[in-house]
Amino acid sequence: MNKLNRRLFLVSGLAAGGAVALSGSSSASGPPAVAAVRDPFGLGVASGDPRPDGMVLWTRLATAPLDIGGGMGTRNVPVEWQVATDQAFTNVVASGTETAVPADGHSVHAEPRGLPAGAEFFYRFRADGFISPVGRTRTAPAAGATPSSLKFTFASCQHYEEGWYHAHRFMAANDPDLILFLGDYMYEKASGMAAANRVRWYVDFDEVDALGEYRLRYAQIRTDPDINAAHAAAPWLVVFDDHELKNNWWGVSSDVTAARKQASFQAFWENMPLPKAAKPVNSAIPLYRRVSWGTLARFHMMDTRQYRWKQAPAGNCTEIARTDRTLTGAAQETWLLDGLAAGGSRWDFLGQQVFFAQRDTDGASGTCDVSTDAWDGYRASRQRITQGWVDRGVRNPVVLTGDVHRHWANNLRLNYFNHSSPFVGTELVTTSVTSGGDATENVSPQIPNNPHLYYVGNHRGYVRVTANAGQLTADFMKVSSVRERNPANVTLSVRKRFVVLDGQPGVQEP
Amino acid sequence: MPTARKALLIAAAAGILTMAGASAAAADSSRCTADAGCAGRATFTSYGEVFTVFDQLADGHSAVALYWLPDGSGPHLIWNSNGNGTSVTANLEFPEGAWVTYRVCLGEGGPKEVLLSTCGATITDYA
Repeated sequence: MNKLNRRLFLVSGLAAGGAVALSGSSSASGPPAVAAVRDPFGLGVASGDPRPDGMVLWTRLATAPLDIGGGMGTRNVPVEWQVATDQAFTNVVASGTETAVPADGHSVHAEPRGLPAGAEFFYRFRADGFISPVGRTRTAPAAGATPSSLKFTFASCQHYEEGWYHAHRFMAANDPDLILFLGDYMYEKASGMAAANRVRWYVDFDEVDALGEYRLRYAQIRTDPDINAAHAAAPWLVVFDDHELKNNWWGVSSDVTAARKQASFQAFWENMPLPKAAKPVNSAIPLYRRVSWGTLARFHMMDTRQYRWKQAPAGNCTEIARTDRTLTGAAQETWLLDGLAAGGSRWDFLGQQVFFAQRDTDGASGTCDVSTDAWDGYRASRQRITQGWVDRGVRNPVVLTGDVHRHWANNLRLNYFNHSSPFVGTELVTTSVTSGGDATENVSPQIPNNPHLYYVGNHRGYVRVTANAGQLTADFMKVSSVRERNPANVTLSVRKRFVVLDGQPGVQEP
Repeated sequence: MPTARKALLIAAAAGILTMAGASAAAADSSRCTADAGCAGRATFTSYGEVFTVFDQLADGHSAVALYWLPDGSGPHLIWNSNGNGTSVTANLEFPEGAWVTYRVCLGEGGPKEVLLSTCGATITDYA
């Protein structure tokens, strides 16, 4: 680890939280001729994948975020980083230097190690004479430690054009230990909404399919101050769904070209606080992974896109019922079940993308009236995993889901057509941050025929979870409007609250 | 790559608009619409943060500049619906050193409809 010039860093960083220009006058246009003429930290900072001894610290340099290439040209740029126990950086406990290179979109994924477990830290970067905003992060509790509680939020589906990111500002204000993002962080296409209903537009109007274009999409998202506040507030655990590449893509042999996959995965990795080890190789990205929170919780972050079979044709019961269909792929299924079998955790959270509980519109077993992109289209795969956690005596399995732009609270069964069969797990589904825009509450016609589906809410927001040894509390958070930009006119409310008691699968109203 | 929607309805211009018949002087950057003849042109002058939108062809369309800002907003629109040979100037207020990314398109000034297929390439400049 290279030590930076700490004194200079501290002197130039007195205005922590803002970028500080050390030198240079600006030229009027075009790429910077020399270093230190423009602030490269407009895309903010982030952290992710906390471990007991460290985490990933992220930034991406861009002096012209909405240009292909971000205005950084072909330079390799040294980027110094610091981790401190205080926001003023008087007690720096780790530091180092990474090189931001054009081939990785000038992204930085620093991975400090040797930090004490279960502790809060502050971090920042320096490049080209500028200091980044300050981020706050934390290490996970030590293995075997028993934290008294854990607070996290989870969110998904944030089409940039369909609303303002108030939910992110509110998540940051919630001061969570962790933030999970369960997919559709970025959309490859412009919104289908009428222009009058969009709050802003992508700068590139067309569907993106090349590396520079994917990078540009992420950069535009990261010009939003509210999402940058959420990234700077806590470490994130991220997985993608389909729109980070293309709507409803599937598996390793779909019609999406290997080149487009590689471009999408590379841009995802570059723009997320993921470890260096997650960098894509060819057209694959190693994404599923596990994060432990002492003995209180484990997060099994899943990939439900890369290894799935092609979606069954709608209503095709023969295909849907095939016992060899898989959503996870065999290797990930084994990884998940082995991880669940290890035990030692009060709560086991499966962080993933698509609707897990059965949602059969007419409730009849012979019609397969289901979404074939969700687990309903992969019944045997769902059954193997559900039976797997039952057989392994998993104490509190809770599936966390995104994708469907609605809040749902679901009770999980081994046989959903038997309405008296016991609950064997719980599913909490978060609505969208923005996708779909403002909406009026409605009632799902699917609930009467699917009594294990306990609650649905149509509004924008996220889910806030607090877990301790005795129970989990899930607050389904509602943002009053994503069309209204002025934060002073936007409110946050708990639309619905549920608890899950230790050892008692299923949601209950407190 | 699929082509996006042909047209979009949009609303709201920003800034202080003035009409002029002469070209802006000392612009720092410039962009044209996608057509070969540059039917619409926008320039940006860093000093004072001034956009000027030129209509350079009697084609029945307006010229409109679209710009995006570092606060996650955009596009903000500056319309010139005054006809061929005219320009509209918007004198804006951006923080010193802030970037602005813009492009220029043709549109229908009445309903404020931007014709997306006419939009030229983007460029980033600085206040």
